Amino acid sequence: MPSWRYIFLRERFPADHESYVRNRYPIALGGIAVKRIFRVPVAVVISVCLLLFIGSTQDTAGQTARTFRMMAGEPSSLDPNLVTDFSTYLIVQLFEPMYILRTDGSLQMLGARSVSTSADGLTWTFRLNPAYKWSDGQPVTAADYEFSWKRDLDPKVGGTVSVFLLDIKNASEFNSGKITDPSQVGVTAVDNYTLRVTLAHPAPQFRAVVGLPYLQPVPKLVVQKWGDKWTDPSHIVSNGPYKLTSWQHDKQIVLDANPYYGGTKPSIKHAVISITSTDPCVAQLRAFEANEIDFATCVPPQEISRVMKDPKLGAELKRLPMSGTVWVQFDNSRAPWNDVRVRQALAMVVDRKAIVDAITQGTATVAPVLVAKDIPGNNPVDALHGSVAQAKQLLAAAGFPDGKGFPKFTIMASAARSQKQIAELLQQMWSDKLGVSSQVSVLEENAYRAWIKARNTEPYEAVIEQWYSDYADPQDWYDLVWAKDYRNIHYSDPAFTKLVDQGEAELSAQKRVALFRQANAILEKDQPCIALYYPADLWLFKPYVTGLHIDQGTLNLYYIASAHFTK
Amino acid sequence: MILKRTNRLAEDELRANAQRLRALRKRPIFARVALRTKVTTLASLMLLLILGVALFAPLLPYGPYRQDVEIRNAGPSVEHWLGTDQLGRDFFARLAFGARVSSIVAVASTLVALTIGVAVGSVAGYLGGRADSVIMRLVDAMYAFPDLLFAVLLSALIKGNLSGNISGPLAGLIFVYHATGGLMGVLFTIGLTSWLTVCRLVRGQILSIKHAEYVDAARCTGASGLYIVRVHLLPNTIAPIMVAATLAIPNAVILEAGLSFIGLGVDPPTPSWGSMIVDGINSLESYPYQLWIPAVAIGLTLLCLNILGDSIRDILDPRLQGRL
Amino acid sequence: MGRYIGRRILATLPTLLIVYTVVFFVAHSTPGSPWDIGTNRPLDPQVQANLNARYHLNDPLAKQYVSYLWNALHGDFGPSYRERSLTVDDLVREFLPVSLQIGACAVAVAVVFGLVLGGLAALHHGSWLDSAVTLATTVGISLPTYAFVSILIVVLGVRLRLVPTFGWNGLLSSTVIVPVASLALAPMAAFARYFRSSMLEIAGMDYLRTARAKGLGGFAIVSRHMARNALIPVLTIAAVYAANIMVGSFFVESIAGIPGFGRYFVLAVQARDYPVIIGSTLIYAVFVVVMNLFVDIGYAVLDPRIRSEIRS
Repeated sequence: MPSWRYIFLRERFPADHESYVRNRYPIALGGIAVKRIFRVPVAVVISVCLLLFIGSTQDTAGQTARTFRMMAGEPSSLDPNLVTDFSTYLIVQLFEPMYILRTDGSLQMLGARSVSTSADGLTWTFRLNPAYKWSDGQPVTAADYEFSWKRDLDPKVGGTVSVFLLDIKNASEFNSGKITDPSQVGVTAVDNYTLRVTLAHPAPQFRAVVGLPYLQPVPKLVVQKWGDKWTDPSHIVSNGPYKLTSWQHDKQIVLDANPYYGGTKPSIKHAVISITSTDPCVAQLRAFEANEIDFATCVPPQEISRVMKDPKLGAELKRLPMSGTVWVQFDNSRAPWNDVRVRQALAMVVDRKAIVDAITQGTATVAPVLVAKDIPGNNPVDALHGSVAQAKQLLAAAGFPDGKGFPKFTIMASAARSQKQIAELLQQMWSDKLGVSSQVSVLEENAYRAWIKARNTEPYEAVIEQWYSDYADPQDWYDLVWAKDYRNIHYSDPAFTKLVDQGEAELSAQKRVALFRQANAILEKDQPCIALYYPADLWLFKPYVTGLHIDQGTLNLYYIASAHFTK
Repeated sequence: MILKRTNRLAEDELRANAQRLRALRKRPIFARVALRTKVTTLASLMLLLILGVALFAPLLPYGPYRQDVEIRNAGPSVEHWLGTDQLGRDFFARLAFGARVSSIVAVASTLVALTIGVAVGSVAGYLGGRADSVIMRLVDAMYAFPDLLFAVLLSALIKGNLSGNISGPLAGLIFVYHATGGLMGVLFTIGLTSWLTVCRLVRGQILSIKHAEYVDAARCTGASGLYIVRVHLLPNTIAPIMVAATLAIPNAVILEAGLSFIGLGVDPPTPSWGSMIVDGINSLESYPYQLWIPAVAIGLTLLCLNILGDSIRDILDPRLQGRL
Repeated sequence: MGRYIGRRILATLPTLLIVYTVVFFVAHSTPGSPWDIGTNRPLDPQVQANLNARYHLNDPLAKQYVSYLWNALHGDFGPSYRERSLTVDDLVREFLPVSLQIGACAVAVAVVFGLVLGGLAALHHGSWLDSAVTLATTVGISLPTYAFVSILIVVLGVRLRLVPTFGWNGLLSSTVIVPVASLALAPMAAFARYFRSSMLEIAGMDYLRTARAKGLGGFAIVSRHMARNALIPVLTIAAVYAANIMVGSFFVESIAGIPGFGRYFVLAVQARDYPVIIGSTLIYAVFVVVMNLFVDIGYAVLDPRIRSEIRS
């Protein structure tokens, strides 16, 4: 008998068949008895696995500190005219507007050298910085800005930021299709480096609007040549500190420093952004802990405690309050939500601290009033206070003593941003303290957004929503959210609307703030929505990454160009 | 060798368990299924325990909805046997009520699948010819759909149309949908995804028995097609239906868990094992018990269901008739 | 035989048409429009109208149905609404190969391990090995895949740093371990169970007794008589599983960060990206249909009983 058999089998030849059979394929010493025919493929599979383990060292992208590694979701498009909340983080690395509005109100000049206004506030002149060039070496001219802004307004393109440019003369007519000739819009390139903008009416917030990160120029010649495909990695050119080297969809984006950039050259020359399509907070934390990325932009709510207590991670954690508010809003046009006593009663029993603790482990801030802290016009003094007893009285006065007769309503929430848990907490609070019963309905994110937009004409009851500042101006809040009803709250109070309109047109800063303050008082008394908390981002930085500038006034946008490695 | 060994083993089994089996054969079918071997006995006891917990869940001190933010994410303790979840709700109560939801989903969606499958299958099998091939063409087409993807599509459709306010033409459906906490949507989604196997099995069985003499006799005496199917054919298809059911129930539980992951499961705060596992994944590194416990619960239940399912299939297998 | 194959192929065409019809109408009946993605602010109705006009979404459904079908027959499955610079063909070309690679690898691993385990369990029927294998396989099909993937990533990736926590670096790198292991678990369990029960069924057959009486040795009996017959049901199941796995599993791909085709479908449903939904369903259906065709042809080739039935 060949000796190799003894390696795998212990063969014996007993007299009876039972033990013969039982010993035919016994478990061998330390190994698994495999049938002859399966030995080869099993051996192959095992050796391949071993090879994989041994033959592959950590093959994550770049262990050297030279490459800046991060993780984000897939951007919808790299076209600055088609920017969305899901692509702006990447577009601002590639493209730069004329200037940025700092949190203290001053301007940081980028693509422009200076800006001046005429006495009547209708004509704005921007002088551009000739040092700025596209990543193919061509200069950034006023014609590029004119082309970009008109393309923003072009109804055929379907730009997403046209709403910010509607103060310009003929802009809304062009955007709605009433006029079709773009040359009638009040944006003109006077010469290569001068852009003149004519407004339809005086609008002091236009200064902040131009400083938005959304109104970047696009390369006129490239866009005209390649059309929709101009954002392909082989065609795209950008005027910002970085250029796009490659974009493997849903996999990876690689950025390299723009050699022709007209501003301060960035310290980080090479950045790799890995794309995730699952919960970005969970994926980022895991990759950060495994040393695969250099910074993370959020921490999953359930991990916050552990991360804060961990000596290493806790030191790498940075808390960044956002300029925004999370609230629960009602359909103010329907009963019983059109009764202010109902809304006030529901507002008085909400335990905001419990929500902040449970959802954000105390990292967010309780919101006493609806408008964010840094917005002029905001006044926490206006906050509505009341005890549970008072709330019960109000509800009784509205016709629902002890919650009897109050219709069971639906709180809509998105599956993202812990809205599900917020809704469950509110449901319990209202049921316990007021006897009002409700049910929670969760929609996946896209269905949720569609549902919100449909609320323009469709009725609803309650929904968890939020708003983040685009710029630190009261108009972005009082006007867009409640007067223009961008969130379909259907709140209308003539006194409030009048104050907001006056405040918008008011040129004197002091008087403006005073007007918006009066509006704030009315808003808080009416409680069309119940403010819950001001969210705060939790970011993690590896100790060798410093200096990353984060614009807390606008969606916590960050600029890789401002960061550098310390080791 | 193996052949002889297996034969010998079977004979040994029969010899050793002859008394027990003879006694069992007199008992109703459930006892035969459950008490066949030691393993199946254990599995059925486990299942009874789980069903008992599900049934008596309302008797637990803490309900699954009582929130207490102060004690959130606490580990097991005397007060809360399995700890609390992210909002301070008792984990054991949520597990027990989750058992209710999961068992309702499993059983009800299987019933939906069985109803549709039996109806379509018997019609196709009995009518034969043109109607049969048309229907089977449809069934083949539905087979070409991936399970999960079809469930996602259906669920998005149902949820999109039925969540929201009770108004409009679908008001009645919306009301039922909300009254069941979103269960109805999940039920129909899973049921509509799983009826195909049932349909095929029933059709196959009916095709093989529809040419029996008693069927011809019944037709001669003037019985209508519906009567023949209901009285003569369907009772003889119980075996494949049971087989299909034992395959569909564990599948339904898994599908519900999968839908919960995508956010198309039951509405919160209704607890279900699938949604508990999804929440547990997000807490995996900080609070691993929030994943382990529902995962073990689902695994154990499915294990018992599969063991019992095998037992049923073994009993019903015509080739093993008489040998149990 | 050739006519049989031809007839079977022809029969698949109405199947595909039905699939197309169902998915088309279900997708378009789901509320929500493709342009609602990712905007903090409401989309201008004018912009929405423009986008709808551009992609012919305002046309009557019947017209859209026919025009999409016509284009699809010419190989053009339309643009992606979610990624406006890509078409469905681009997506297929870029992402389907990854899913196919992982899927094929997972099926191979599942077949090998499943057959081994199932065979072992059958041959040691009644012993503790049999019970252990039965237990392990039942547990394998009881744990949801996404839970298993997450556990693997946390244990192997974050704690032990043996594999990267996300990404795909090709078939010969360590990124293949997590997806293949989690994808192969359920089919391996299923194959083991089916193979075991097939083998046990066959063990009682008379022809085996004859072979033994002829004097054939153990291994010859197992390989030539038992395994070949026991493999048939397993192969049927394997074809079904293969079709399911090879187009990509949404859970595994999204959690492990694999750029594959499977997660595209769910992303497309969420984004109401109709061309991707319809296109990927059609591709999947073609896959399944082709797999079934292979199985049928395989049956006809391998099983003489079916061959004679076809001839008659």
